[in-house]
Amino acid sequence: MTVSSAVRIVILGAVAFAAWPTEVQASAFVVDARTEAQAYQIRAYRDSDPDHPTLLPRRRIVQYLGVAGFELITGEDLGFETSMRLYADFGLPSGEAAKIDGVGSQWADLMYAFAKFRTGPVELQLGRQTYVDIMDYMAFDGLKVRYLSSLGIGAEAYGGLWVKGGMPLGSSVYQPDGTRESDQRRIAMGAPSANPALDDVEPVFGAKLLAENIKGFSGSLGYRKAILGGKTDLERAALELRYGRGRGLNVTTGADYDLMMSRVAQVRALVRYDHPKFAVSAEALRTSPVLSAESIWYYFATAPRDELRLRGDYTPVGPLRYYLEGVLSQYHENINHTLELALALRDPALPSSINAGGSAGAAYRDGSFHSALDVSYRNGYGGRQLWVDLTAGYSPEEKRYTIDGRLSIANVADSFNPLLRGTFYGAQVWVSYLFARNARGSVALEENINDFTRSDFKIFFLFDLRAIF
Amino acid sequence: MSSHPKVVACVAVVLLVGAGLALAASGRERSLAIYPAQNIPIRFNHAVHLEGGADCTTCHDSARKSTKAADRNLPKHPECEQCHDIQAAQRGKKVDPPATCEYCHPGFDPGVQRLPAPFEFPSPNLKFNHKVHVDKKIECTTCHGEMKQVTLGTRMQLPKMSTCLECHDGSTASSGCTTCHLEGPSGRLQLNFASGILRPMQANPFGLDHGPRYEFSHGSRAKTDRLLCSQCHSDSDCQKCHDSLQKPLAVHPNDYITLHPVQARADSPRCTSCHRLQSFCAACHERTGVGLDADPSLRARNVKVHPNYDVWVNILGPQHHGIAASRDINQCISCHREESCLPCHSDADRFGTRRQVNPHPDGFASMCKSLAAKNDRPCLKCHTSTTLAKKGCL
Repeated sequence: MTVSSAVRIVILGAVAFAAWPTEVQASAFVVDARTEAQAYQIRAYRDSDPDHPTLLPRRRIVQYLGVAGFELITGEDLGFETSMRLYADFGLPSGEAAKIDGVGSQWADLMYAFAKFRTGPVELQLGRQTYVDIMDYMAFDGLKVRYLSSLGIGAEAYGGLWVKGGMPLGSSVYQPDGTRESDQRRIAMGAPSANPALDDVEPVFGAKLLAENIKGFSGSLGYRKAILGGKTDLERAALELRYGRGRGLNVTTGADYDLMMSRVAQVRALVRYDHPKFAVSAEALRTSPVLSAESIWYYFATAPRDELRLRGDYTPVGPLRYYLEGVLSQYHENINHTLELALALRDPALPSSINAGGSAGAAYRDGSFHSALDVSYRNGYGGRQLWVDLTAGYSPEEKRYTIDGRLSIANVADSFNPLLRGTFYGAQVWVSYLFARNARGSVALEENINDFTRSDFKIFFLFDLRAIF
Repeated sequence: MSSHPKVVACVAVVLLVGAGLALAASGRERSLAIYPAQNIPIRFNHAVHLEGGADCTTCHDSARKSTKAADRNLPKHPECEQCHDIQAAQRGKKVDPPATCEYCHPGFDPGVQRLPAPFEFPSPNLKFNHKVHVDKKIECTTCHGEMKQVTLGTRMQLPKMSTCLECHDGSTASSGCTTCHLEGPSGRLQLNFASGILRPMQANPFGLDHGPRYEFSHGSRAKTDRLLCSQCHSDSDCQKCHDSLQKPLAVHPNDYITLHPVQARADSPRCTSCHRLQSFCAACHERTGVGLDADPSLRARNVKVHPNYDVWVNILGPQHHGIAASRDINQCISCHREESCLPCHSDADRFGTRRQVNPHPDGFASMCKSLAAKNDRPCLKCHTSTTLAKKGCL
């Protein structure tokens, strides 16, 4: 190496060094930590009569740690976001978790961890990520690519492995329902119906055609398939449509079609009109359980549930606003007509599957004080329920503390459990204190009084920490 | 209904109506997060000045070159002195229009106080460039409204988002949220400000008003309008409720562990939006002895929630569990495992079962072959390959 080239390297190195701090400054990193501790007792009537409830202690601690970085390369939309959850239940008797599928005394979940890169109309997301659409709320380890042109036309494709409870650092939260997370325990016991495939990796992939805000219209047409142990676990198609052009009318609709069973699984339609002084909305839903094709229940004669919601919001100039909502829902029946049981559907004594009711409430917000009163009533299928909730909070400006409270009264008559009827009173106080600009601690105390559990007391501790650097 | 709920309901209605009558006529409707509260201790009348021949630029000329939302663009004494002879008034001379200190600064006595009460005029938490808008020949009244009826200009004369979106529609001008809103390091909108939390309020132009009980009504929108939601929210915001472990106090009222069956029966899809039935629900029910299929060495069953066995299983009447299951299989799955159903619903060759009741819907036989071709594992939980073949499903 000559002296001149060495000098050149030194100068280049110095220039790079000088430039380096600028690039570092463009990046931002965020650390979010949240700790939630709960201590209370669940009353269970196990091995006892209703007058002598057995108490199950719950001493849980859940910790969330999120780390994110943004603009890792100056001027480029490149970053990552992660969230991890640690859980421990110190109240679980020793050895009990091993005997119940789905219960753990301690575990760690990687809720999401993905890198994201966006350049012009293209966006890529790689890693563990959640995905929400009319079909489901799911999580997968893989890649999502989206292209959206300036004209608002685009496409999206994704693929990877569905995140399941049986995976290392996996959570069952977004796993298709209808089966255990894993059958390992039952396989070890020699259970004849145990399904070893539940622990297999589950590839899932899908694609969507996208339209975004073309003269107020947006929508997508999508397809998704999941494969478990070489067999189809889920195959669906969905259509979503929206319309909205500024204040006034907003329409949101969607349909989810089950391609395996060749039937409509879900339909949603929401129409909302907004005026400065009021808003009205109507929402119609047809929902069916989203079950894994590994589950026998997926093939049972089940029927969808319909729901209609009508709501009006009145928002006069002032600190108060009001709403009134009506709800009507119906569970349908589906019994094979070759069965004698089908005749029972025509029996006048067949209990109604309709449930009707509504809610009314007011919310008040003025300065540091806010409050809300909600009254809800439902009657019909499932029983009768009246709920009255009064909440209030005080968050004084430039003070480090906030106080919130909630009083609730429920008068219920459960249609199945004759013990579950009567009036239930509850009170809750939540105090938060800001230790530092980004560190907040909270204590929530809850006391409940009723004929069912007599009286119980719960305590929750929370600690939130957020750092940006 | 017992007398307690009636009293509570009456009190609630009286409170609602009474509070409405008492308070509906006051207040503000601009977001405090965007436009923090102001204190403008001055007497001013836009209407009088406009009638007197002034136009906007007479007092707010700096707005034409302003490029930041933080720029004040308010007149100071030099602008006022174009008409108000302050110096003459200070010498005790009567002038028209009036120009004494206390005329514009009510309560200010220069003999006692050094300065009038200060303005509190925080910058809006927005990006805004007056110059760009003026250069596009956009009239002041387009955003600030007609001022001919206005006395003192306040936050109420600052534009709401619906006004901005009349031009910011994606074609005339950018409709991206961060065109106007401040963003955090993630590129999502900054939501927390010293003056409040940015939250879509009533008359939001996207119909996104996060009003009372939004926790229960956002589902359809969130499922079909992810791009818009993600402008403000990260995955962790969704998981604060949907991860099924944290107890969201706004969602579950007090003592919800005791009371949840009543709501779950009427509205099971709401439960499944956060809770996995065969994990969260069934596991807890087995732990507490409600679930049927718990490890028998763990504990005995406790409370029985079904009608008596004959009515629930043997008598093919309106109370039969088959009807309840067809209406809402979620309820069954929240306590039972598949093994609960197999003894009666599987075929004889598989489990030596007693009943062999067909649980499938009408028309299932015609599609069983294609279903088994896609996935025969669940079929083989109840049937054998031989019985499936006999039925024409293999």
